[in-house]
Amino acid sequence: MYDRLIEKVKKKERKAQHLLYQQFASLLFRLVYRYVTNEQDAGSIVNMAFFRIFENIGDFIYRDPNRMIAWMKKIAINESLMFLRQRFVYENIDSCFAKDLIHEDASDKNLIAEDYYQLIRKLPLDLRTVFNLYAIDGFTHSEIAERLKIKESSSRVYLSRARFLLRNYLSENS
Amino acid sequence: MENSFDKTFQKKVEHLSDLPGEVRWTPEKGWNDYEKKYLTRSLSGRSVLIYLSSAAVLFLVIFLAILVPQNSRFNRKLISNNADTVRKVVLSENNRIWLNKKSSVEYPLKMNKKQNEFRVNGEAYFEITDPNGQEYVINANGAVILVENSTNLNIRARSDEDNVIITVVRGACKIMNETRQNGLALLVAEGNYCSVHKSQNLVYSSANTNNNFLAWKTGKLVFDSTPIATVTDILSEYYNVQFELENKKLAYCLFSGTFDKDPFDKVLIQIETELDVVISNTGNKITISGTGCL
Repeated sequence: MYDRLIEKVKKKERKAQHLLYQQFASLLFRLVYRYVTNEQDAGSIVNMAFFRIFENIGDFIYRDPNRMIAWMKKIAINESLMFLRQRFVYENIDSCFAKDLIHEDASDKNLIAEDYYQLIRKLPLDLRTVFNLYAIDGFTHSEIAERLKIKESSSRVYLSRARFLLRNYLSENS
Repeated sequence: MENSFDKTFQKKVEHLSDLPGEVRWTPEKGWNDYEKKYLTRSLSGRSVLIYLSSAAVLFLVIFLAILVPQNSRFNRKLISNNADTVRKVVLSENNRIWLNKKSSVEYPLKMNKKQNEFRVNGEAYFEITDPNGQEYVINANGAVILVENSTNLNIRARSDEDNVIITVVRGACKIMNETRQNGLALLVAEGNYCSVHKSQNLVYSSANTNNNFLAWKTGKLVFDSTPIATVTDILSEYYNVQFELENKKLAYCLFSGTFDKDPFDKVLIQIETELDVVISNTGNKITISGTGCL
């Protein structure tokens, strides 16, 4: 589907790059905007991600669209984390005051996808980062700990607190 | 362990690909920004041309900036006198410079109507009879001499001496230290000399008592009850010889005599005759011996 486009992008054809950008910029913006709540910053990160994508696409082997999107998303997440780490220090925390909501259902018929998206964006930066990485983008606590330079236990605490707050937000909405 | 709470959020959020309603950013705007910021790194043919043109213009500007001051040097004339005689430089009918040996003067090839800058190294005598409204700015090893009217002056600016000595023969000039050009200039009138210390910003003026400051140009040497130590200093420079006083008391012997382009031997004989001393000439070294005059 995108294999011919990718080949052209690999040849650094400007039109092909523009086409790929047009195709996936909104998707990546959505992703980045979950981590970084400032629109301008998000736009810059998206562009930095595309720069990395175009720079590294020579090593990327195209198999299917899902893998390609996953690869691009990973780059966008890395750029977002890099941006956040330059401006924010993720501290280690040990105590867990929040009740873990492992089996609770967060679904609410009155809420649409956009509402859930905005609830995540309402979270404080540290909780939002960990929740995004773990719950939405599928990182393990070990990977999060490595990327945010915190202990795994701290990552778990951040996640619990994020879930706790989200539950409260959901309650407020209902 | 799968968390149903997280799963709900993930399912709702992960496939969102349209932009949130409040966002004004668009892929087109983003692409424009991207092109501006990143695509200048890979140059297209047109960009290469533009960059090369810009580089050429920049190169030309730098080249001219370097060349123009050099050009101004090309428009100047440097005259050096490495001979053993005095050299005369005629600037115009009434404006002349005499150069002592081991001296040089640099000046504009084409004189400006308002101001002309001269550079003197060594010793030079300026005779400016008709300035014609022009200012003569003479830089001499740290001293700046400003001549606005008819003036004759001798400038002694030897690189191996600490002071620059300007002796005004006729007229007047303003003198200042090169490092304090914004400060007050000293007006030195005829019959006076000015000393400018090269490094200590020391400028002073006094009546000239040195009769022989211009001997290098006129060939006239005048000694009027002059201590022999001073006489030998002057003769050393004039005849390029070395003197040695065998008895230090001889230094205070006073000598009077006048010479006009006389040969060196005649000068020595006159000194020997006037004072009760014995002079032996061993090539470049002249030894004066005796018991002294006091």
